[in-house]
Amino acid sequence: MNAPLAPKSLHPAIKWMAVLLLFYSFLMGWLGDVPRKVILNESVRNLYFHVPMWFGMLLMLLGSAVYSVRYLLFQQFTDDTQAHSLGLVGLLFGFLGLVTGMVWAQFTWGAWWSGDPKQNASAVGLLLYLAYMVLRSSFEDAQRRARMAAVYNVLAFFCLIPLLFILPRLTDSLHPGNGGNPGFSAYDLDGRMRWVFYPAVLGWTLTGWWLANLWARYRTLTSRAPLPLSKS
Amino acid sequence: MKQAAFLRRALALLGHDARRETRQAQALAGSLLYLVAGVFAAQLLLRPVGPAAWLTFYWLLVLFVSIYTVSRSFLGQSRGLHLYYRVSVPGVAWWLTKVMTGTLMLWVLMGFCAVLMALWMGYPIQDTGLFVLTIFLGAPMLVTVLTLVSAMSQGASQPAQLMPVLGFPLLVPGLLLVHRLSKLALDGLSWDLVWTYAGAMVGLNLMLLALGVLLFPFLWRD
Repeated sequence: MNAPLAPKSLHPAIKWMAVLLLFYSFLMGWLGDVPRKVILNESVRNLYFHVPMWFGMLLMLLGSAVYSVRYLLFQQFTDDTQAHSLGLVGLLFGFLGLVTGMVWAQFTWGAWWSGDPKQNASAVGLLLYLAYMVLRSSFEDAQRRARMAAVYNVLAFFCLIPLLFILPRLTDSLHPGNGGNPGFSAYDLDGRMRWVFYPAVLGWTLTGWWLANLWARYRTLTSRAPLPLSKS
Repeated sequence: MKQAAFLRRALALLGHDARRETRQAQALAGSLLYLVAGVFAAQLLLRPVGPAAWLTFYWLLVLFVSIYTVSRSFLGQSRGLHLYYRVSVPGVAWWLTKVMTGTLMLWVLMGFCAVLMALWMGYPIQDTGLFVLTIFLGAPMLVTVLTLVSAMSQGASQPAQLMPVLGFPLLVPGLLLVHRLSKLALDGLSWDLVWTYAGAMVGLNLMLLALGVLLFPFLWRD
């Protein structure tokens, strides 16, 4: 049996762009000028850190689902490894998004956890993908694991959509952009925040892509352990 | 022609599976007993029981009994019978059959659970018609997700343990909707909001059914 091919390394330009964009978004995120708003005050800067986590998570999980569909169609183990790695990075982003959101909520809503629909939905979203990891770890046979995990991953992504986008809209939430609370567009009257926010989203997404790629390459190399690594 | 043959096979399978379920009456009896024991224990512990607690307990018990029932009808199958189905029936027909028999069984179980709870714990539901609608829409949601999950956990090292771990998070969106809908039945207010939730439930059921049609053949292959 041929050893599975490791995914290609990302182009250096992508890595440099990720580094530069993150550097820029951290610098401008902490030092740049932001609108002064009641209650929110300086916490509005969380837009540059918390919201890109959710964008990054959704894109990673979307990528993971796409690779799972590819696995089901073509049965290439590389696709399964990619789906797994993107899922892990998505989980990491989701966790960071939840934590940054909780820190923000402590200062604006007055509690780390208030059972807000958005908080509940994201916690369940994390559970969905933790269960994906449990499912992966409970099969001995690699082919079966890959197939079952791919099916679950597609199902989980389709269940995540109503969870994150439809259910919170059916009830009142304190989250910006819900239940009469001003959303993103209300804060950036002169578009200043957009100049930091969009680069941050792009930077984190590229970083996630890079992380997933590294993880997938590492997994592929260690899965053919008997071979000396230097002969790859 | 092909569709007609397919439909005939699916119908034959449905009849066969339903007959097999009724012949193995101890299986359904097991689920019924599960409910009796559960409700009886609850009426000893939850006393007095408020309407909100009644409803929450109802859905929790229905969730547990559906996991138990669906996993038993799938994982409890003998290897030989399983192999026979695998070679003789296409995955999609099998999927539709399982959803139909499972839904019928859950309708019975959910109704039975409501009757038992009404007997021992009182009946706080104001709008019974709406509650029946909730049960009608809730059963396919539970069955589709759990059937997929049980098919996925076949061949795993701990299938019985995987069922709830995979099932709970996948079921949360549907359970939230079903709980909202039955909360309206509990309060018996106007039907203004009903159509929003019922529409969302129908959409969710259709999405899950379609996902099963697409994904089940992959689970079926070996």
